[in-house]
Amino acid sequence: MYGALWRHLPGPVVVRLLLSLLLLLAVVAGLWFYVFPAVEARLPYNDVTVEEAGAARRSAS
Amino acid sequence: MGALRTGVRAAGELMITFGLVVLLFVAYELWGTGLQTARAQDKAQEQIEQEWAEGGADAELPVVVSPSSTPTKPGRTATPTAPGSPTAKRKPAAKLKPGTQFARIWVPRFGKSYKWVIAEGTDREQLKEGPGHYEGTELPGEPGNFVVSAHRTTYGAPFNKVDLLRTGDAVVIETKTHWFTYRVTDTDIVRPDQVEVTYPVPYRAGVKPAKQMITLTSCHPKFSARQRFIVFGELEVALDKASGEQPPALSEL
Repeated sequence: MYGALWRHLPGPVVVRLLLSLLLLLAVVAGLWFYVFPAVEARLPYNDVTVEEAGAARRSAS
Repeated sequence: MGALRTGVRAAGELMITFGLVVLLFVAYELWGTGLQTARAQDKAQEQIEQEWAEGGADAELPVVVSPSSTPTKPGRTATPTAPGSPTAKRKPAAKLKPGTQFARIWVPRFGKSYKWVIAEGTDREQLKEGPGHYEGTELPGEPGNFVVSAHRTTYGAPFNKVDLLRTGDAVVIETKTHWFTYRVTDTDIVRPDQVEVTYPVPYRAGVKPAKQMITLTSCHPKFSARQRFIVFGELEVALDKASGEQPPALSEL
């Protein structure tokens, strides 16, 4: 998988290295700023309030 | 042979990648979310200090002059001076706009520099910025229950150590005009739906409150939403800020 990626990157080793680093950064940023916040909102362990049973979970967290 | 090898390798790489992503997520939860909160709190502290220093815009928080500034003995209840006014029903009278930052919580047990700005409201977004006051519960110093919620493990984890609070520990609420020193009276672990802990008299529906209580809620156990950790406290003394003094409770421990 990563081998194939490496082979498909253009240019000499230095350029490939930089490009892979850039790709990695892009993936991490995407996870950190978009995927994780979205996932986290669906996880329950951040709930710290007490609420009526069955109440909409709008006031969770 | 070649195809099998490629397949196994790809599967291995995928699994390692997934493991790294999960690790990154843990870092995000424990550290990344805190960065966001720290930024919001820095701004809030600055803003509230400036606002309080200016002295204008008094309308926000109704000034409650309940117990006199004469200190009562620890453990004894200060007598509320406004009999009849509070009802067991939630009164919409003293309503703050959600998001309004109106108080600060100091807990000497958590360290001398422990202070967080409390804002009105406890919804998900609000609590990302720090502790929140349950809408509809009383305000600091009012007869009834001043209920505050905050995160235990993420988003700066203001209530990370609530389980370390002991009976008699001070929880000091600072408003624009007053210092309210509450003393921890009890703790409890309840189900997430036990809203009775937020009643004016905790656990007792429809009872007219005589005491000024504070209640803190957070999740329990840590990293779980199975239960809620609850800390109860009672007002010991209210100190008018005009006196220029700090409550002695802040320098104990």
